[in-house]
This record gives sequence, C-alpha cells and structure tokens, in this order.
Amino acid sequence: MPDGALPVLDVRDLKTVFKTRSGEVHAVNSVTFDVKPGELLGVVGESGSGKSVTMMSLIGLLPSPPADVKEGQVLFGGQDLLKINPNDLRHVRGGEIGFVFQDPMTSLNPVFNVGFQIMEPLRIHMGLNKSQARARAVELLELVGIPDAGRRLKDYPHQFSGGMRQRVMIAIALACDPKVLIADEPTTALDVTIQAQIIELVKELREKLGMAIIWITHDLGVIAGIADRVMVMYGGQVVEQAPVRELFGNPQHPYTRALLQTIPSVRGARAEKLNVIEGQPPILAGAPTACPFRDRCPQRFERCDAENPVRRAVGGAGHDAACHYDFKAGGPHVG
Amino acid sequence: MFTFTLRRLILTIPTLLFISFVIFMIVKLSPSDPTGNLPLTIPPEVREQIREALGANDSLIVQYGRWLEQFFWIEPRVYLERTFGWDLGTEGEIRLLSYQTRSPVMDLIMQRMPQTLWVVGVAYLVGIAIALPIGVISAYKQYSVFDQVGTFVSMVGFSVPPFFSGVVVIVIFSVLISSDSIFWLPSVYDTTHEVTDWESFKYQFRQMIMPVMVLALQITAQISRFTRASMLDNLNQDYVRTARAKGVRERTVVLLHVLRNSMIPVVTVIALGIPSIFGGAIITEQVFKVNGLGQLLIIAIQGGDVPTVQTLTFIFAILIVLFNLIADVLYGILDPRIRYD
Ligand SMILES: Nc1ncnc2c1ncn2[C@@H]1O[C@H](COP(=O)(O)OP(=O)(O)OP(=O)(O)O)[C@@H](O)[C@H]1O
Ligand SMILES: [Mg+2]
Repeated sequence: MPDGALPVLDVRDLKTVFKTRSGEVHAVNSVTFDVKPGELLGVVGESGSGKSVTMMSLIGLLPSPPADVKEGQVLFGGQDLLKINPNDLRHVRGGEIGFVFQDPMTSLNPVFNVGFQIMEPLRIHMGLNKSQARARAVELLELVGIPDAGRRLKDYPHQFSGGMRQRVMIAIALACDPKVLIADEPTTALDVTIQAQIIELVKELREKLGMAIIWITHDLGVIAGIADRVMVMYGGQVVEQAPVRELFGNPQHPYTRALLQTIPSVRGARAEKLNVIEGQPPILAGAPTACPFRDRCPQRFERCDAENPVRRAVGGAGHDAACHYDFKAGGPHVG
Repeated sequence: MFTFTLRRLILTIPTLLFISFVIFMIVKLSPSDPTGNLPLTIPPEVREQIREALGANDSLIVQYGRWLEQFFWIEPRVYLERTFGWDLGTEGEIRLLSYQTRSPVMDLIMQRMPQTLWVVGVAYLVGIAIALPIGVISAYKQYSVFDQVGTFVSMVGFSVPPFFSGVVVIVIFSVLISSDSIFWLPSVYDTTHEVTDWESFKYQFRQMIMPVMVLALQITAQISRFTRASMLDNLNQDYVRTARAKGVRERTVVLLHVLRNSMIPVVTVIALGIPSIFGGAIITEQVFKVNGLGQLLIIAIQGGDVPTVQTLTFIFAILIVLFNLIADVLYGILDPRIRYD
C-alpha cells in the first residue's frame, strides 16, 4: 500500500442518532476514519459498538426515522455523500460501494432467481441490456466460484447452500466494479470451513480486482490474517486505529488490550480460563462527555470522568488511540 | 405441480362424497316438513299424499341415493344436452326438483346466479381494488395519518354488520336525499331490470352502488388489514436492505421486491374468499331485496325444501374444496420455495 495515497473513502466526524420512543440512542459519535485504495480495513468491537450503524450511515441505508445522520462528512469520489441528492447517492450505493451482509440465508429475495438479483444492479447502474447483464452475471458467478454458472442463474436462493448464497451476495456487491466493498460480518453465520473458503475468496478477489475492503468482524483471528489496518470501535467511537502488526504487537488502548486478551491461546495451559472483559457496555442515551470505557477500565483516573479523550498519535506510524493514559510512560498523557 | 394437482383433484372425490352425505343427514334430520308452508285448509291425508309424491317418505338411504344420481348423473347430462344440442337420453328421467316450486333446482340456481355474481362479485373486485393500495400504503407509512384513518375504517368495516350499514346507506341515499337529486339511489334492487342501452346501464349501475358499497366495505377491511400485515412482515426483512444497498429505486423496492413477497399470502386469502361470493351475501341480499343465491337458500330453508338446501350447500362445499386447491396451487406458483413433487 503506498503510504501517501489519497483515501477512496474519507469519513470525518460522523454522528448518527436514533430517535426512539424511549429516548435518543447515540449510536455513532464523531467517527473519523479513511480507507486507501486497495486497502483492507478491519473493524472490530463488541456487539452494539456501532460498527454496522456507522457503515450503513455512510450510504444512507438506515431508515429515517428513527435514524438521523446528524453531522459529519463522507468524502467519496470528490463529493460528500451526506450532501448529494438521493438519486446520485443511490447510484453510489451498489454501483461504487458494494455491501455484503451478515446473514446470507435472509439477505437474498426468496421469490426472484439469483440471475435477476445479480442483473439488477448491472441494469440500474451500468445501463446494460438484458443479454449483456446476463453475460456479466455469468462472469460474476464464475468469479466467485460457483460452478455451472450459466445454468444456476435460473435457480432461486433456497436452492443454494449458505456458503454459496454468500458467494452470490459477494457477486452482487461486486457487480458494478465498486471502489469499496463493505462486508458486515460476512462469515459470522457460516460454519468454520465455509468461513475459511469465503475469506480465501475475498482475498483472491481483492488481488484480482483491487478494490478497497472494509471488513467488520468479531473474529480477531480473521483480522490478523487479512487486514492491512485495523480500527477498534467502542461505544459508538473509534478508540484505536493502527496497521495490523502494530495493533496486535503494541495495543495502546485499554479496551484493545482487553480484547486481545480474550483471544484463547492455543499454546497456553489448557485449563486456563477464558478471559472476559468485565462490566457492561456503555449506555448511549446522550452524547458522550467522558470516556465510554471508563467503567470497565483498569487505568481509570479523574480525567477519564471529566473529558472524552480524542485520538492522538501514539507508537508507530499511523497508529492512534483515544486514551488519557500513556502506556509507554506508565502514566497519564501530558498535554 | 401437475401430478400434485391431479392427485389432489382425485382426493377431493371421497371428500366431497363424505361432505354431501353429512349435509344430507343434517338437512334431513332437522325437523321440517315440506308441506309445512302449505295452507292450513289442506287436510292431513292430502299432505301425506304430497309427501309421498315428493318421495319424502322413502328411507334415507334411498333418498340420498336418488339425490346422488340426480346431481351427478342426470343434471350434468341435461346441461350438456342443452348447451350442445346432443341427445343423451335424459327424456323421461326425473330431474332434481325443488319441493317448493316443483321446478328443477339447477334451473332455480341458474336464474339467481347472475344477480349474485353481479352484486357480490363486483363488490369483491371493488373491495380488492381498494384494499390492496390501502394495505400497501398503510404499511409503508406505518402510523401515519393515512394509516390511522385506514385502521379506523377497517375497524368500522369489521365491526359494523351489513344489516346496519345497509340500512344506514338506504336512509342516507334513498330517504334523506330527494329522489330527483342525482345522488339519490334506489333502495330496492330490481332484478327484472335488463341492460339494453346506456340509460338502462346507468340505472343498473346506480342500483348496484349501495349493495356493492356495503359488501365492499367488509371485504376492503379484511383484505387491506391482511395486506398491511403481510407488507409489514416483509418490509423489515434483510432482503429489503439488500435491495436498497444495491441501489434499487425505493419505488421498485416496495412495489417489486416487497409487494411480490407480500402478495403470496394475500392472493391465497383472496382465492379462499371466492366461494363466499357464490354463497351470496345472505343478509345484504335481504336488505336490498336482491333475489340471489343467498336469498334462495333462506327461502328454501324456511320452506323445508330439502333438495334445494342440499344442492346449494353442496355446491358451496364443492367451491370451497376447489378454491382451497386453487389457493394451494397459486401458493406453489408464487413461492418458489414450495415444491409439490
Ligand atoms: N433502529 C434502531 N433504533 C434504535 N437503536 C438502534 C437501531 N439500530 C441500532 N441501534 C443501536 O445502535 C447501536 C449500534 O448498533 P450496531 O448494530 O451498529 O452495532 P454493531 O457494532 O454492528 O454490533 P454487532 O456486532 O452486534 O453487529 C446499538 O446500541 C443499537 O442498539
Ligand atoms: Mg452489526
């Protein structure tokens, strides 16, 4: 990855709030990140940390109401996706940014054959006619490793296995040669061997097609294997962000450290008990005024209650973390 | 699919035979006398002779057997002869006769079918045509003013019986509005009226408005609620998010992706409701004096007219069984996940 390359997707200060009957939910709080061309950005964080909501906010996929993308900029292809008109945004969606969801069993429309579902974005965004779209659909199915592609176009989703359906989903997301592919836990619903196949497939496709990928997952093992850079989310914020080796070797946020300790070690003593992060995830009822992790943090001190830390450069190049505590110095950051 | 349909069709034969027997026993065992409606001056011996002549004194099994023969063997041949001008040798065979009028039951039914089909059938179509868009919009704009109004109207349609709503519209359109206004509508449905030109068509249209309105209100209430629920089920599905993520137009998302899925149960419910059209709307037909099938059934029950009651009820049973089958087949056509072989 050329270091100085301009990002394809540059997200700044994104804020998303849900207005529900029981009050507001501040699901995404000033999230800033970017993705370089061809880069694979891993996103980790516990359930409810705002990973999906962040990604769906980018391309207007959240139903509004209740969702309200209040602030921020999403710079993509020289424009701000939060400001462009809905019709242009629609063409970005599925045309230039592809999305793969968690559950392939329910993400495809059961009453249309997969051919129709793959051809749909081709016809909408690339203006292909029926036979062109068909030819391209066959190509795509072959690309994602579905044998006998020409015949399978007429099959319905229920005639495919879970892994095959996720391949179809990937084919749909990649149909129009997107610059960015967002994969929201694409392997969580699959069994382990199939997971490995899908991960292999994505690696391969990335080499072939060169799009940037944002890969959301709970599985740090997967991230270690495929990501170039990792972003850790907690309580609707990005708490740490670094190149993958740096993050695993030198974590600078207490949440990341705790997260890494939860990975069961194969080599360690067998009786060793699984590490868990004690405490509850934060309540997102208001805009954060203090560090969201403070209640569960072993390093907590007064400043953590008074001020929500912003990300600052720490450690190696391209590494930043949002914490008042300086692990290198073994005490609070000065300044 | 074809073998499934065929197998199901064959299976309906014993089902229908059983149903016809049950209907026969129920009708027969209820205490009613075919001469009960005759003038009191007729002496008992004459009544007995009339019963004898009607065959009402034969053993039950003989009567049931005769009905079977007439319904399944004689009547179909009579109709084939009439339609195609063939000679199938029905001359001299005794047709299925009504106790009350001594005319063939099937002819009575054929005379009354058009009125029922016009009024109730049109009401069904109108009801569906109104219900589907209401259901779709209510679901898409859940809790909006439109949805609230729709909910209220459906509640009215569900809970107000036609003998009440019928009288209300009669009071409004036939009584309160003076008869020279263009909004005035006739309260009695004239079944002898024939459509020959534009004027008579206009009259036919006007006299249909009120009964159709009353019936359509009920049908709209049911189908729109059902459509709404089905749409709501589907709007939250993951595949809808996928369609949006693909950049599909919002209108296409709703009217193609969601609607196509939502229609699966709705279409089956619509199919299952069709037999009730033929059943006629007993109460609404009474209120507006439409002499349709519903009214025929009521009169036959009151007169102890066993053959007519038996035949009408059995025809409804056939239609119900048939449309159940059609609903199943439609389900299989609309939902690719269902395979019958
Ligand atoms: N429609 C909604 N209405 C209200 N709150 C919502 C809605 N959708 C999401 N949220 C809230 O937003 C927060 C972030 O949710 P999100 O789905 O982004 O988490 P996530 O990190 O993707 O978790 P997971 O790993 O379980 O997918 C959660 O607290 C959730 O309760
Ligand atoms: Mg998620």
